[in-house]
This record gives sequence, structure tokens and C-alpha cells, in this order.
Amino acid sequence: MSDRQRDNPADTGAADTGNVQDQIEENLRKLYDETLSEQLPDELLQLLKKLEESDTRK
Amino acid sequence: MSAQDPKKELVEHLPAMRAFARSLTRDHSAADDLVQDTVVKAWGNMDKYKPGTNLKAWLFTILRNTFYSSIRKGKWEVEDVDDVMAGRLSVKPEHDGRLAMEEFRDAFSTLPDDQREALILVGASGFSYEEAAQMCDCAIGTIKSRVNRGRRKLQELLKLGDDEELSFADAETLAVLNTPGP
Repeated sequence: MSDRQRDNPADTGAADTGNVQDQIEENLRKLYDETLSEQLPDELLQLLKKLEESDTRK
Repeated sequence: MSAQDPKKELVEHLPAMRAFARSLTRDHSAADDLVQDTVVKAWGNMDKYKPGTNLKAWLFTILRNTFYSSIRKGKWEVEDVDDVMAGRLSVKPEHDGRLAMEEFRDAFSTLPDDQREALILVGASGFSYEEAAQMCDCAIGTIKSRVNRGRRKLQELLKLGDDEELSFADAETLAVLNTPGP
């Protein structure tokens, strides 16, 4: 193997492991971000409204 | 400059709370119930929150405690996903070594609670190991260990070698990508 090949991180097992783990991290974030982009359910918004109203009455 | 009212700031964290709740409950409806319970508790105990500290971490801690407390009380049944998912994950997907998001989601669901929460807190929510350890009331080393075991388990469940690639392109996207240009 030439020096150039050895210096290439893609030629090392460690880099490959890192690559898979990086992708797992990326997919975890995707899984998480899916929910972040959703609209909040009405029930939750109504609950917040009730809590705010109850604070106002105090 | 005055500090933001934590009750108003709480609203900004609701999407993240839902995402964390889903990772714990693995059920959309149960997750929304959990977030509602957490909001009511947080709202009623806002005087205990120290302004200037990490409100998101405080909310996540309440949510997590509420989840485990509810499990202990039998409020939610925790599905034994191991059996359900085992069949679905038993065959390595054949579509050119690529994995669909659904398969990743299934694999993630089979992880033990402590590994799922550690991966979400550190890997997706952006908390440090130290913050996650405080939230989970354990040592930093324990969180690191859970994260590492979770990652290895995912790799094992998805039958990924160290040199394989995960891809989440759906069938339509792949079809477009594979269509020769003009």
C-alpha cells in the first residue's frame, strides 16, 4: 500500500466504523427532527390556554 | 434585558419534549399524554425552576421522571417490542444494501429504555454527557456506556458492517436518482 493510500482515512477500518456511527447519529437526529417539524396537537394548545387562563384568574 | 418568562419559554420546548416523549414511549398517543402531564407538573412547579438555568433540561427531567413513575404505576403498558421487531429485522434488507428509515426506527425501538434515552439526549437533543447524566441521575460514565452500547446494538440490529452505508432515500427518490439524465 502506498503512503498516499495509507493516509486516506477511507482506507482504514477505524474510519469506516466512524462513518457508520456518524450515519447512525445523523439518522437519530432525523428521527428526532421529524417530530420537531410537526404541528402541536390541539389538545396541547388547549391545555396551555387553560393554564394561562387559570394564571390570569389568580 | 429581562429574562424571558419561563412559562412562555416552555412553549418553545414543546416540540422537543414531544420528540423525547416519543422516543421513551414509542407511541404517539402515549407521548402526547406524557407531554401534557409534564406541562401540568412544570407549570405548577415553575417557582422551583431557577431562572438562568437550562429550562429544556429541567423540562426533560420532569418528563423522564413522569414517564418512569407512570410505568411503575402501570399507567402505560410497555410493549415487548423485542418479539414484534425480531421478525421484522431478521432479514437484512435487500435493496442494494440501503436501509429505509422505517427499518432504522424499528431497530431503535428495540433498544432498552436507558439506551434509547441516552442516544436521544446526547445524539439528537444536543445535551452534553454531563447534562444527560444529571437528567438521568447517574454518572457521566454510565451515560457514555449507554450511548456506546446503543450505537453498537443499532449497528448489530441493522446488520451493518463497518464499511456499509445507511441511506434513507425512499423508493421515489431512488427512482429519480437512478433515472438517466437527458
